[in-house]
Amino acid sequence: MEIAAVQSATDDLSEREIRIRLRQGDRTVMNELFVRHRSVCYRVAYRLLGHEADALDAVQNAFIKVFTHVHAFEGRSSFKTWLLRIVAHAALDLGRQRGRLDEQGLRGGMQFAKQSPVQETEPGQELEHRDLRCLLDQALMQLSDTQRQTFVLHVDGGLTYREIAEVMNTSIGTVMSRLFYARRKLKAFLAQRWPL
Amino acid sequence: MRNSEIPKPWPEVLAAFADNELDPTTAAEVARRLPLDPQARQELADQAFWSPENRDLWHRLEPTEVRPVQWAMVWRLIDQGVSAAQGNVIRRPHSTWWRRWMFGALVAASASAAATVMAFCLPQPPCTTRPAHVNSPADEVFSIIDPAHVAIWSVHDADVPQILAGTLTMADDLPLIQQRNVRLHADTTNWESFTETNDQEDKDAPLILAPRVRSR
Repeated sequence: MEIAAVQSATDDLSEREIRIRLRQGDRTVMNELFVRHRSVCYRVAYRLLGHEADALDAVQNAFIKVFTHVHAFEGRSSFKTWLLRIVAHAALDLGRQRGRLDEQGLRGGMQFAKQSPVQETEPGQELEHRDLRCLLDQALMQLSDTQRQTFVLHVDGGLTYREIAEVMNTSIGTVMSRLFYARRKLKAFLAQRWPL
Repeated sequence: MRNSEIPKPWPEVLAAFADNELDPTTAAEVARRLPLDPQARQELADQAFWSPENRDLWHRLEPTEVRPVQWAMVWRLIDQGVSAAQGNVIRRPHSTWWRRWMFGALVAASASAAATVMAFCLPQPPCTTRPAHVNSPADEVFSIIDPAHVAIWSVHDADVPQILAGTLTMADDLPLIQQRNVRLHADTTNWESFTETNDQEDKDAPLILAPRVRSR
């Protein structure tokens, strides 16, 4: 109930009004935007990092950056698009800093996946989902940073090709190409590990 | 369909087709080609599998839900981070004795390491006990200590009541000078940034000026 009430408060504000109130340091608006966008930010950060605690850290860092650099938000894109760009950068920065994407971690996960033919041995649906998530995390790590970012912003961030092009400062054709080859790689990686 | 009619860039355009991101004209071209190209149909199926439109897949791949208490913690940290960045910084608590001691210990350790390196690397002048020559009133501050034996390391934080001094030898660590080790030359007390810290009874104490404690 509280969340619904909070969301409706900013729903009535235009992007311009939100921008003005953020620049004034309006904490109520900050909290409302946080509540509204935190889930999608978390999904994007999690998918880029493959680690829940790190994803929360990335979300935290991103929101601090957004709220303290709101003067840089010129309103040429939507607030969500701008926010997700910062989240993606924060996640990738954090991933590099903490070495979550290193080869050792990846190998560990792959060993787990190979040793666990979950579709045969694990009856629980939740466990199956967790293993599938684990496999996807590993598959995503096969992609380049730009491919992974593009893919995640599309499927988890819900951004269109045009919005992703804005976020990544590239062309729509490049976005399309990155998605195409990212999906090919994902399919090739998972084909031997999961009967999709 | 002739090759010249194949939508470009082929086959990347199939990704956009699967995501309903193509303009109507190009989408119609792709749709016309698909029945003629089994390989393209398979490619399209693979691309569509990873599309956000495949809601069943992405539902299964949802990350673990974050609990409200975790979100509350994240918001609290964001709020603090914004406050700090906006200048409403929570002031550093006043130094406590142990914090000062830790600071002194760190300085001492750094100074010991530096002194050791210097002892190895620099040629040592003959040891003299005479006071350093005073050229100007400003020099008096440091002329009180025999420079051949004592060094001052870092007086950066003036609310530290201890200051490091010592000899550049390999035998001893550099000690922290405390008030009882310090005596002030009366002639050199006019500097605002320095305070009188002395023990007139200890005549053998090295003479040194200690930084004045800053008033907040």
